[in-house]
Amino acid sequence: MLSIEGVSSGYGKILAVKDVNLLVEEGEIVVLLGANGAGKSTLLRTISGAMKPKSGSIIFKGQRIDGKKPHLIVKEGVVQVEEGRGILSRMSVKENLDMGAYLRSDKDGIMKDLERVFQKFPRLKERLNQNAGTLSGGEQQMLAIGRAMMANPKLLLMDEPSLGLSPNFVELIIRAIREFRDQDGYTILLVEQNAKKALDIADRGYILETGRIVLEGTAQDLLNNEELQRAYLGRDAKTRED
Amino acid sequence: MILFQQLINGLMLGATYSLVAIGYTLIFGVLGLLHFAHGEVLMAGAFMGLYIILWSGLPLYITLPLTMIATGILGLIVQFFAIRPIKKDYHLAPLLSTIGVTIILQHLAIKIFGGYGTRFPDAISTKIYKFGALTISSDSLLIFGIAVMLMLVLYFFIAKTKVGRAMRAVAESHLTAGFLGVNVDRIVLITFGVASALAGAAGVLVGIAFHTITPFMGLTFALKGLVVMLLGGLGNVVGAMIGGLILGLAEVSSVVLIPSEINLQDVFAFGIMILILIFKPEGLFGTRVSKR
Repeated sequence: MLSIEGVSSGYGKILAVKDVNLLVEEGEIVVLLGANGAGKSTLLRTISGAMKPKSGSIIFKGQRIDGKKPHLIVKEGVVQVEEGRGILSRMSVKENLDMGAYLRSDKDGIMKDLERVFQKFPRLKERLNQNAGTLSGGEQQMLAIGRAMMANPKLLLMDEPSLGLSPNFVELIIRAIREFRDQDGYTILLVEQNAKKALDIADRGYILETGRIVLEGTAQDLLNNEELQRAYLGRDAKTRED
Repeated sequence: MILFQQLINGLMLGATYSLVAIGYTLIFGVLGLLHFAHGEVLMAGAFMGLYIILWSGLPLYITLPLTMIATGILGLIVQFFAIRPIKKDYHLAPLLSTIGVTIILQHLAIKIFGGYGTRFPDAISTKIYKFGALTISSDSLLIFGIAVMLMLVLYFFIAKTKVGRAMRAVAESHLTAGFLGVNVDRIVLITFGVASALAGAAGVLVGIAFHTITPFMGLTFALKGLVVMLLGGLGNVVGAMIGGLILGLAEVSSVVLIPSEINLQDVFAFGIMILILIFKPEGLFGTRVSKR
């Protein structure tokens, strides 16, 4: 579904992502792991068109999307839940959800998806007219994910959705992601710090280190990989500050 | 009574300031840019209105929308050629470019219209209404009415329409707006068009109010619009609306309170600006603009 071939990308002359090859098949959850600054967010931003790759190509459903502007990539069905949630804090919860469906005009489909969002995250229905900036961190993450559902995505890019959330919310978000694959038919490329939890629900994974893919495999293989256990899953796993 | 009389004048004056400041604040909202040439767009609007009336004799209710369309297009041209191509990485570059546009527009106007005041034709027959000792001219009512109407339309546009919502999204974050499917470049362009149309309307209203327009009038309104934007809080449209009225009222009050031989109106206006900058830099109704 998504095929990244030899992509290098970065701001200015510094390449944060170097010659990356990555494949996401339809119906998969693929997890992208790596330390802080490994280039995970840069890669997602490059897929979404917020950054132009310096070289390589990105192919979605047989069509090149690299170099396209973000809104055209969204139109193709590639929707990103950005790091830090990207909530429009001066708008209401309802307006945020409406913005998710910005490119759509199928009223019935939008209504249906809104109901699905409320089913998944009933809390959002209670907060509908509240200013989104006043939501708690967990609620904001629900809103960010619900808003992405409103875009009717084919491929969902999620940049650290569990970051800074309480364990309860982490469980909720992880379950939602699993349901996206199993019930909603979304394909998911997930960037996570929480390697264990992510690999538990993922089909395959890639490890990014200073901009390069250093390891890839099925989620099971990665969970059992000793080196990886030491680096990401073990007791002395690096924990992230914020 | 004279104070009350002046209050009405203040509201009229203030409403034109509001129109200018709304444009400023819209553009600041979506680009984080101080659009210095905004006052010159007002000046251009005043002259366009003048010539539309002189040449075609069209009534105000047609002249005004025509002028707004013309200055709206002028705004699009300015954005497309002088702002969009400039890399945002160089902090002062876009600002300097708008200052360049300011000077170009002003000098073109001097070449075309002459560097002196031109009488603005009477767009409507002026009637004077008397309520006891109070006299109100139909001019001031009309100016205030039109300005308020435009502000209400704009408010509805921003609050309720899809494009308005997209403008607010872009004002919060270009990245997020793009990820939601908003064509950010187009929304920025539309914002310039809308802001410039409002400035054009303000230009015509100022022409009606002061009866004389000059190629140099832009700067005064650019600076006062700036004061109002600060007063209302950067990027805050409703703040700009109210802020304009406050500045207008404050200016005319200074005329009443201080003997008119010493013209301290502008000292007053910019004194207020400095006080705000010192004590309430986020503005009276401040939404703080987050920098990302």
